[in-house]
Amino acid sequence: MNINIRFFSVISFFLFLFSCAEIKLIQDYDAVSNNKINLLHDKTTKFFVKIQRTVGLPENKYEKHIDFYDDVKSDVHVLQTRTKAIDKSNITQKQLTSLLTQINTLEKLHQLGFKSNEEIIIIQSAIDESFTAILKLQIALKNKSN
Amino acid sequence: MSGKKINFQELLNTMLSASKEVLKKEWKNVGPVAELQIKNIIHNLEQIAILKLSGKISEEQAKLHLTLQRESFKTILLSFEGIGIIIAEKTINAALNAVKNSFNKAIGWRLL
Repeated sequence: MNINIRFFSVISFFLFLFSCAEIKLIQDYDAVSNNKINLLHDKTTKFFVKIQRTVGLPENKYEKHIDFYDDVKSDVHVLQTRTKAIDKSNITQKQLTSLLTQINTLEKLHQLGFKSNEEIIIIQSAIDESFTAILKLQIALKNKSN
Repeated sequence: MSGKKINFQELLNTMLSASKEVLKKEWKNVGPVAELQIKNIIHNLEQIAILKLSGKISEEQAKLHLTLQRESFKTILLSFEGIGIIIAEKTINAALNAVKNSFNKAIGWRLL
């Protein structure tokens, strides 16, 4: 009888603890990732300003901007590796994969050449939307952690 | 644009109902953001079609632009808890497939 009571008490105690614990579905805020994403957005925005100003000029050619692509692609890879090490970071990981696809697509378009600012504006608007979505999540995580 | 004019409101309504069909449970939260994004996509697709028709981009470039639009919508959908990669892609495919025929007919070539 005593053993039964003890057994149920232990079970009840653990059930109580479990019900009190917060079930975490999403990652904790990571200030380093957030800063890196902001810097990446800044770098990309400056790139778009530059290529919009130089449409039709030799400075606009893909060959003159290979460093930019190497730089942002390695930034995204570093972010992906960091994010993978953070628990429950699935959403950010998938968003970064999608961002990398966009950067690769931008690079392909640049290799084919830009003939007008209208084209660059459409690309920038799509990539900006993605950055906004990624940053919104980071802000929400930050607010949650405060 | 070609023979037929693009009807923005009709495309928007069709794409919204197709997305809503996939995102049934999440629609209450996602709906307003999805509507804004679909409006952007229609506007950008129209611009891509104009650039292609005016010879400023090729068909290959237009398809790459479409990839950018799809990925952008995906990133936005993924920020909602409960929407994984499969649901996000299903939503985008449903929205674009729903207007595929009317949009392609209006621009006079196959973008979608």
